[in-house]
Parts: sequence; structure tokens; C-alpha cells
Amino acid sequence: MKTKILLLTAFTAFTALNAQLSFTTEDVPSQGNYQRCVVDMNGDFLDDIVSVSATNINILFQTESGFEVGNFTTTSANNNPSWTMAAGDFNGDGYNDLLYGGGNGATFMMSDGTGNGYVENSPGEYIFSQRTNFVDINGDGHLDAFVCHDVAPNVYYLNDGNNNLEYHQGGIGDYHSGGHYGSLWVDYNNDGLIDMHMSKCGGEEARYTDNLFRNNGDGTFTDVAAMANMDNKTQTWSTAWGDFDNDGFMDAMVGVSSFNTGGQKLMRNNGDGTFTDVTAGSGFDNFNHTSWIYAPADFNNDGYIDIYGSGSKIMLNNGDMTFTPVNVPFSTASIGDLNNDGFLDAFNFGEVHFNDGNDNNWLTINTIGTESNRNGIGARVEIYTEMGKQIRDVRSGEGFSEMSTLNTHFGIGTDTEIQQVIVRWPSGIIDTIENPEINSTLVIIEGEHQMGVQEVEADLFSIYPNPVKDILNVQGKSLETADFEIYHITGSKVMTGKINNGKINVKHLTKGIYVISVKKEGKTSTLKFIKQ
Amino acid sequence: MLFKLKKIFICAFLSVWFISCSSDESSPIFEDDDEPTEVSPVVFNINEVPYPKLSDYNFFKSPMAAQDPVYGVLPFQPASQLFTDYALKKRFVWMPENASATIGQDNQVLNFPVGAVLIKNFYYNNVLPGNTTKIIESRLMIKKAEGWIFANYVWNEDQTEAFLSEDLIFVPVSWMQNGVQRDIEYQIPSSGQCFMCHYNSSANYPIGPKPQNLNFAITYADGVQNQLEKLKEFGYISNEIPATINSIVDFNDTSKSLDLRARSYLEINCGHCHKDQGYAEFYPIRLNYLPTPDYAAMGFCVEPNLGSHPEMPSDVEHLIYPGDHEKSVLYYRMQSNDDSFKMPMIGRTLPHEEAITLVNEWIDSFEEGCE
Repeated sequence: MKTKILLLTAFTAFTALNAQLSFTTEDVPSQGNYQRCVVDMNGDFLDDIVSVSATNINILFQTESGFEVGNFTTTSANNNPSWTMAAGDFNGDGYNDLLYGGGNGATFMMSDGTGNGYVENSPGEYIFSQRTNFVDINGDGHLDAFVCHDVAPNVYYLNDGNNNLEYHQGGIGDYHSGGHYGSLWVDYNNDGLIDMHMSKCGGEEARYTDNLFRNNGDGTFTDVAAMANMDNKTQTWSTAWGDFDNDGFMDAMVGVSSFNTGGQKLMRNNGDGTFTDVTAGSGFDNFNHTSWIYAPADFNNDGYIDIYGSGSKIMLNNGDMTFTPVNVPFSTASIGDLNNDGFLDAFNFGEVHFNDGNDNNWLTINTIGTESNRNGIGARVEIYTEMGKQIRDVRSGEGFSEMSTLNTHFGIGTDTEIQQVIVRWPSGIIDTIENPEINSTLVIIEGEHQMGVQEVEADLFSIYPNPVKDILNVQGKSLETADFEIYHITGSKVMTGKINNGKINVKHLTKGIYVISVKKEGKTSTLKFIKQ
Repeated sequence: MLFKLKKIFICAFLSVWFISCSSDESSPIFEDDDEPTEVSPVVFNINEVPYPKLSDYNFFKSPMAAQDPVYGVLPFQPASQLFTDYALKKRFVWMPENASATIGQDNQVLNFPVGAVLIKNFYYNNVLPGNTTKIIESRLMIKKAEGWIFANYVWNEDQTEAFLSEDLIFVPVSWMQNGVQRDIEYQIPSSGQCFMCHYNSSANYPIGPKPQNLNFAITYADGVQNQLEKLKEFGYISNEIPATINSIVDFNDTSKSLDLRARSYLEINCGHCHKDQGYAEFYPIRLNYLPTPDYAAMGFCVEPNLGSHPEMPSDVEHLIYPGDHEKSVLYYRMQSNDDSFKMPMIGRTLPHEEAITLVNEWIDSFEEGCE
């Protein structure tokens, strides 16, 4: 990539930069007052487009041959996602639920388990909602929901274990008159516990000073922003968190909605719980745009995470903590891979800006939690290639208003081999996959790739491909007379039979996550797979 | 001071004269007609307020729903009013005995004494089905030693009482507005929302009672009078009323200039947030009224901080584009009902159609173009 840039320097810098990254805009038939969500909704892990009105959820389901439209009627939502929207599988039924953050409160649209319907749950408390997220706040393996409060201490709903919403206020952002705009869940100190960075705005200085809530591991959080040098006093609605220099620690680009109390700041994580301001010379020191959304994504798949959100520009990461602006046809957008080509696209109100791509290589990872929440939200994903180490946290709700994909995406530039992928789950389980195929989707199910754990049962059989569309191949010793059963992740049995020649036709199954159980000589072993 | 001495002298003279001419019956102690002789029957213990019910204060004669104030509770109204989904308002002020406010700069809220109470009733006429009047809420601001506090009272269906409430409450209202039926879910704000408009410069303040807003005559029980003079006469303002006050006008008053009308509307609906030290101080638009307008500060030819919105064409690039309201962010925000785009941000669920027309005319009246 770098050679290419040198050759093109003869042309204007504008052209050279745009050559690395360009988008083609297409209209899509999305329908709804609020079009700010890209996430898989039918369980096949392909990103779909979600648009919402008070009584309807409009979903454009991604398929190989384009988008298929689905409309799902709901009761009239007490609160619309007029400020923000988040998605996550709160009730663990295999389908993502939606969280509408409105000016008077929060409304959940919980999937009904069939993939064909949503049930409204509006708990009723007054919340002037800002950024919403799904995250396991108390580390009990169940996904919870967090709602920033603009005019009071923040609110969160814990999952009581039975998928009921348990309201809490206080303990994670308590400024009495609020100013809580952008909550971003990130493990900033790499201790395996998910922390939260709070972007703040408006009012007096104490109100707009950012917080950094370190997770104490016992359900409580401590604001360590001052100690960490992250107590920024700028007007900020959201902050882009990513490991910009690939040193294994999450850095932050603190965005601004107004220059009145300071400009954008690039904060490098020192790896010791503190951050250093490296804005000078970074490109953000003379970036004259303001926005309410700043979020990270590797758009050109070069292995260095970029930043988008304002000025119709993407700040392309040069790999050395400097960024260069590139003109693109969007500022605010929901991000995901909308044509399954390994390059991240952008959706904004009726338009998809498809990434034109390039020759760089990539990897997409679908995390499926078992001990941890089903989405794997809060998991730290690491990949190792020749260029080094890259990391991501699985997050629900970045930037400000929009919801972007829950899939984990990496660009690896011109590297052609991935040595290892490591997933550190919120449960503490660590899975390691050696040499996964590049330019493909890797499904990682929690617990199935633990190093050093010799599971005799796991040797019983293996399956491929995963995800699967038609034929599931089952391989293993002497399986011809073995029985198999296939269950949907929610528990209902959908198929039984004998393995025979090791080819099971699963084409008729609806999309989603399934468990195949094989019984041989009295021993039963299971594996999970995704049907697309 | 001189005036007061003169008054005392006259009183003394007259008192002697009256007493000397009185009959043999023991005469009452002479009461000066110029001093209020009644005592306000309002109930108010500053350590105990806010009371649980509006009737506890005894601000109004019975029936309370007639909104007829007792002695000591004076009505007032600002020249231009805040839009609240077409709700009508009756505003009142009360102060404890011997307490008074002082008047300062034109655009500064009167300096009220501890114990002052401002009352704002929100109501609708022509409410369906019976074409009745319905009072929704009474918002109080009470000045305590530590600063202003808020207390909101929500009226019952029977219109016999209003109860202290901190909650966000939706009240369905259907009424006839200029011959057209309107139906809304009126939003009574939660106590957490008050500060969004009323807090600036590190404290809570009332918004309406400023000299610039009150400098005109209204009808009192005993006649028409300039409000500032009335307050002074009643003893609620203790210092001199300035001879000249730069004042806003009623934006509906077509005898006034378009510019003055529009800027008066913007002052009262937007200026409390969009001013220095206001809630929206960090955005480059100032809509508080200035006697000599600063159009650049008002957002003329200024680019917005926050980006596009589906309700606004993507080529709108200025907060106010002189000469064309359709190229002005302001117009789209006044029209919008989306929580994250509409202006004002809270306090209305309907667009104020008449004001949008006025502001559009105002924007269009300027010579077109930005450099």
C-alpha cells in the first residue's frame, strides 16, 4: 500500500487518498422515520438494515441476491429511537432485540423467538435518553441495557436472569443534572473486565468533564478519568475507541460537537492505566469539523482502524498515530458489511454507500457466547498476522445515534496468513483458533477452542462448512451408525436421523443458530453451527 | 426619599385635619389611601413550601379554577409568549409582606426577594367534548435563600385541585384552535427538565419577568396600567423604573416592524438557551434580543455544528440564510417534531405554524446571499 501512495504522489493528494477508499451510493427501499441501525436480525449473522417507526420495524434482510424486505408490526412504541438505537440479544433467543432511546424514556422491542415478531416492553421510567448500549454490566452472563441520561444520573436495566428488566439508576455516571451523552464500553486496561468511557457535554465545567469508569469486578465502577488523564473538558457527544497504533491497548479519539471549550483530542493509551494527549501533528489538530458521532472502523482493510463521523470525511489511519482526511459521501452512518464482501459499508437514511473495496485481505468473526451473553458483547478479540497484533471489543452502540454491526471485522492489508485468533470472553474462557482462512467468515463458539483442554468428546466428530447453507458435512470415526439430532438454539428439536454417509441436508432449516448432537456408543457430543 | 417625606407630611397634615373634623365617636386611626391596607391572605411558610396542593397557598379565590387571584397576587404577562402547544397562560407574582424586588438592566430578570413566588397556569379553552376550559398544570417558582426552586402542580379532571408532582405526565387534550380541532398528548415536564431552560450562569432563574418583556399596559381589576408601574405602585418594585427601556413587542402585533416582531419571538422562545451562558452556549447561534441586532451572532451565514438530518435537504448549509428560509437550518428545526432535531428541544410537540410563517417572512425579507 505504501508503495502505491509514493507512486501516486505525482497526482494531487486528494486523488491519491481517494484512490485507496471510495464508495458507490445506492438507494435502498428502507422505510421508517428512524433509519439508524445495521445489524443481523434473522440469526444468519449477515448484516441487515433496520428502520423503525412507532408501529413498524422494517428490515432489509441481506441475501446473496440483494435485500429482501420484511415488515413487522408492533404496538405503538411509547418511545421512538429519536435519540439513539441499540441492538443485542437480551433474551438469548437467537434473535437480536432492539432498544429505542427516546427523549422521555426507553422502549425495548424484544424478539418473540420466532424471528417473525417483536414484543414491546416499555418499562416507563422517565429518561431523557442519549446513547444506549447492550452490555453485561454485572458480569453474570446475561446481557443488560444501559441508557445515558441527559438531565440526571444514568440509568441501566439489568437482566434478572429471566429476561426481565430490573431498573437501576446511579453508580455509573451520577452527575446530578446529567450531561451524559456518549457511553462507550471498552476494556481500556486489558484486565478482562468491561469498563465505560463517558463523553459529556453542556452546562458548567464539572458537568462536561468526561468520565472513565473502571469496572471493579464486583458490580461497581470507579471514575478514574482524572488519574488516567482522560478528564477532558471538551463538548463531546461521542468518542472513537480503537487500538489506533496496534500496540494492544485501546486508544481514544475524543470528538467535539463545538469548539468552544477545545477541539478534538487523540489520546494514546500508555498501557499503564493512563493516556497521553498526542493530538499535535495527528491530523486532528487541524480537523475543522464538528459532529455528534465519532466511531472507529477499518474501511480500507489495511489493518489500521480509521475514524468516521463528521465533515463527510473519513480520517484514514496512516499507521503512526496520524490520520489523513478522505472525502466520502457520508458523515453520520450505521456501519456493517452489507454485501458480504469483507469491506465495511455505510447506511444512512435510504442510501447504502457500498465500499468499492480493494485488494487488501480481511477476516470477519461471528462470536457466539455460551457462558457469556449470546452475542459475545464485551469479548476482546485479537488477531495475529505478520504485521502484528490487532484487537477489537465486541460492542453494541458506538458513536452516538446509530447501531452498527455486532460482527467483528479486521483488515489485514497484504498479509496472507493469520497465525492466530484469540477470543477472551467476559466469562474468562479463552478460545484460540490457529490459522483461520483469510477473506472469510470465522464462527467462534465460546468454549469450543480452548487451548490445552483435551476434550475426548470434541474429537467425536467435526462439521463443515460453518456457516452452512445446504449440506452439513459430518466427519468422524465410525459414525455411519451414529444418531444425530439437531436443535434450534432455543431448544426445539428440528431434525433427527442417522449420520450414514456424513451428509445432512439442512437447506430447509430457517436461518439461525443450531446445535447438532451426535450419539455414538453411549457418548453424546455437540457442536453448534449457523444456518444461512 | 423626598417623595416619601412629602407623603408623610401630607399624611400628618391630613390626619390632623380629618381627626379635627371628625364626630364625637371615636374615629378609626387614619389609614393612608396610598398605602395598601389589605393584607394578602396567601398562606406561605418558606420553610414548609412547596405544599402538597395548590389550594394550600390560597393564591386564588374560590373556585380556584376561575383563576381569580386574591389580594397580593398580581397578574403579569410578557409581551411575546413562549409557545407551548397553543396552551394559554395566566401568570402571577406574589411577594411576602414588606418584601419587594428591584429592577435592573432591561434584559435582566427582576431581582426578586426571598419568598417571592411566580405562578404560571397552563390551560386550554374550547376543550372538547363540552367546549370547556381545562387547566392542565400550574408551574411555580419559589425564591428561597439558596436560590429558586421549582414546584409543579397537576390539575385534576374535576378542576377542583392541583397536586404537587415531579413526574413526566401525558395528558390527552382535544380542543378547537381557530375553528380547527387539534388533538395532542400534552406533556407536563418532569422536575428534572426545569433546569434545561431555567438554568444559566450557575443558577436557576425565571425567564419572563424582565423589564424588556413587561414594559407595556395590561388590564387589571382596577383599570389598565403599565405593568412595571403597577408593580412599583403596589410596592413590589422598590427602586425607580428607568425612563427608557429597550423592549420587545408582541410578535402578533402587525403594527410593529417584521424585524422587531421576529426577534421578539426568538427572544422569548429561544433566547433563554441560545445566549451566552445559556444551555446551548456552545453552539454558534445567539437568539436573545438585542436592541441593536447582531445578525452574524444570530446565525446569519453561519455553518451549523451538527450535521444533516433526514428532514432537511442536504444542501442546507447555514443556520440562517438571508433571503431564503428554505436554505436555513432554523426553518427545518422549527418545523420538526423529531426529539433530536426540533427546536425548542423540549416544551412543544406541535410546530408553531404562525411563528414559522413569521420567521420565514423575516428571513426572506433580507437581501439574499452569503459570501
